[in-house]
Amino acid sequence: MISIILAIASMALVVFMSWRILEKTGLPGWLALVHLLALTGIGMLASLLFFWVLAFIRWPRDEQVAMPAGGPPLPPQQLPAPRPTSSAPAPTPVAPQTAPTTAPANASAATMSWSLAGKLSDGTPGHLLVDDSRPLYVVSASEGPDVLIVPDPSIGSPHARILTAPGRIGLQDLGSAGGTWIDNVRLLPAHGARDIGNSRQIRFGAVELTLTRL
Amino acid sequence: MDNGWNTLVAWFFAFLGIIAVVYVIAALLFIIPTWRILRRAGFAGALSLLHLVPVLGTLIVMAILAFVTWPAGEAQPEQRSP
Repeated sequence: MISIILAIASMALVVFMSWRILEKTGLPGWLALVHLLALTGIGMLASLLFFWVLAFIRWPRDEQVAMPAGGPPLPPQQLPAPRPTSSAPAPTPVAPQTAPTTAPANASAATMSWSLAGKLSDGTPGHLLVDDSRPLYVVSASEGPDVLIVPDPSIGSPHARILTAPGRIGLQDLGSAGGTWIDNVRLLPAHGARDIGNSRQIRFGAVELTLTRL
Repeated sequence: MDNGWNTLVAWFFAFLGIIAVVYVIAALLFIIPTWRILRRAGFAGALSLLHLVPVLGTLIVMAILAFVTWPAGEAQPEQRSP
């Protein structure tokens, strides 16, 4: 009798936790009921199915970005010239952008994507989505073509470049006053572009972001 | 007598070894997808090794994913499917 109660309680706990996990990904929570298939005799296969599908399915969380990339790719020579740190003016604060918009239309399942998620200096959550269908992104506080807008006073205009190649992602500081850090190590303009594919924490000014390959 | 005892011990450890290998392979079936889920959520993938702990390990991993704020961000309310 006790073992039956324990089994029911653990099943309910697994379904509840799975429900929460699914909601965090943006998927419907009721899909957690797949765990109830364990009652039909297939046992752990239901949980196995849950983990494998969840690991490789595309999450709605990743399809929308709060700080979007927009416009067609820019050739590198049209980018604003890097400026030295010492002569950089104070960055102009801009209003936080809260309305999410959809990801670039040319992003496809065949491309490799990275997420940069964290909080602005005022605590507002932010989420950047980068994929290797574009070779170049510019991190900036102000609007512009092909710009990933990070509306924070510590972000320069422009602040840094994110460079991508098939399966690879790099970062280059553009001499911003707020600075750029890769895993707490300062990235200077003189360092050029650095591969950040294996890095975890990226900091633009006061904005701490966690890099995740999707 | 000694020979028989040694054979018994050898068989015992061989059996234990086979059980261990089968267990690790079974755990890997959970560790691989969970590693990817944890990385996508912003956690260290190595947390999926908790699956090696019988029964409780899987519950702990799921509890981390369910109740800890994801460093890589969670779906906003407007992104969530009904």
